[in-house]
Amino acid sequence: MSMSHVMRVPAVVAIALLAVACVQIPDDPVEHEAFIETNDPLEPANRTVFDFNLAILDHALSPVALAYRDHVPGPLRDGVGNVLDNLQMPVTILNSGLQGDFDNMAEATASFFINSTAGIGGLFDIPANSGREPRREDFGQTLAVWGFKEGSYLVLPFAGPSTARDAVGLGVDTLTDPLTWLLTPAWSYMRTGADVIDSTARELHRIEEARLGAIDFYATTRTLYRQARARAIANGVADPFGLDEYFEE
Amino acid sequence: MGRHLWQRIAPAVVLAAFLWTPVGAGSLEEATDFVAKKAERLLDIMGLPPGSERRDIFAGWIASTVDHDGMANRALGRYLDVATDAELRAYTNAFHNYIIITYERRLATFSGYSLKVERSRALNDNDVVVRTTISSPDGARTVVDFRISNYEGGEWRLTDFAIEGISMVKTLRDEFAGVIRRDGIEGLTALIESNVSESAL
Repeated sequence: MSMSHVMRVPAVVAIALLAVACVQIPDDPVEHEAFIETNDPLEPANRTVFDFNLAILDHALSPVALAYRDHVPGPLRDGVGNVLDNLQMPVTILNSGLQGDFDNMAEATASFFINSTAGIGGLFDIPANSGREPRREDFGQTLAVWGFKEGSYLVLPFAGPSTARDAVGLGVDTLTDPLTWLLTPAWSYMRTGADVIDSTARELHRIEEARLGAIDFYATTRTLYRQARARAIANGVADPFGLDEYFEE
Repeated sequence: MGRHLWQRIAPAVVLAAFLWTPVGAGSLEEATDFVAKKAERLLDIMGLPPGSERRDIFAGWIASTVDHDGMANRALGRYLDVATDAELRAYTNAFHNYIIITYERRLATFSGYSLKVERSRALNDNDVVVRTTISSPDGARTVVDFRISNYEGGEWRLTDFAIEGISMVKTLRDEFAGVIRRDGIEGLTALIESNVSESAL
């Protein structure tokens, strides 16, 4: 990260704070509660970024991801996906430890070493084939486990839906990922590009499914993101129905 | 609590004690069976070729399975209390059509999947959640939880479902809230109606 990038951070924060300060909070009690629950004070700016991201998805990413899906054989795509997942494993190991989840930390460590060696650099996901796959953990989840609130909803350019907490988490994950420091910039861009195309190819049908008939796709994306994150933070046992009791794993 | 107040509420408490029927083991089994049969039927319907015939059959499945009025009310969330009768009638009607048109297309992605009931649990006196796993032809598994409730006449009705922890009703409620805040319930109804008209083409 260059110095000029670091210098831009206070400016971005200042603009964001100014935007939040300019937001008018409704007086009507029902509207007020809805506003607090939605927790999206930057909605107008977020919607602009969201539209930009959608345009990138529709006009650049989707055609590439579809070509990748249609022309690259399935087993090869699985291999690429496995390698990328394996490269993310050090972040999971670190964050499982920070959350005190030592079982997942041990599973992630074993998975990383098995896949990196016997799995030929992660090309084959051997633990997943035997039904023992560690959960993915990141610093956003760690902050949640430590008790930090999620903060306002954010839409990040290119990265998509997030929250203040997850945006901080994303930054810390980037800094604590060993590959950030080991790869040359060219390899780093290639990894990011491959990751984006692979995940778009994997998730495109879900995005289109959610888009189908959506009344307000921006709001749909916001709630889908929050529900999925709540589930990830609760390690898959979050109660989607807002009831007191639920299944225990 | 004053003696007078207790005397007034005591008969109601005694009556409630007699009428209160918690979800027992037999009912839990019934509820699980209801979900298993209805979900299997849904997967069969989604295996039919797309078109108006499948849509009609799906509409019949909705009518016999889903508490759509209750679902519509819950999707309004806090705005239910401020809706007028006329607004609510128009919205509920639009919601019903929206569910049929949109979910017939969305759920079609589960064509060819198989279902396995994992377990069920009574959440309170009226609500049961049944956890199922549906598997794609290539073996990918998706957890789907069905929330069902005792309905009028002792029948079970589906009140919500969650695919991998994403609740349908919560998603709709969050989606609708922003539109209502901007355009009111009438605006939401108009938007749903126009969405249905476009999707039905």
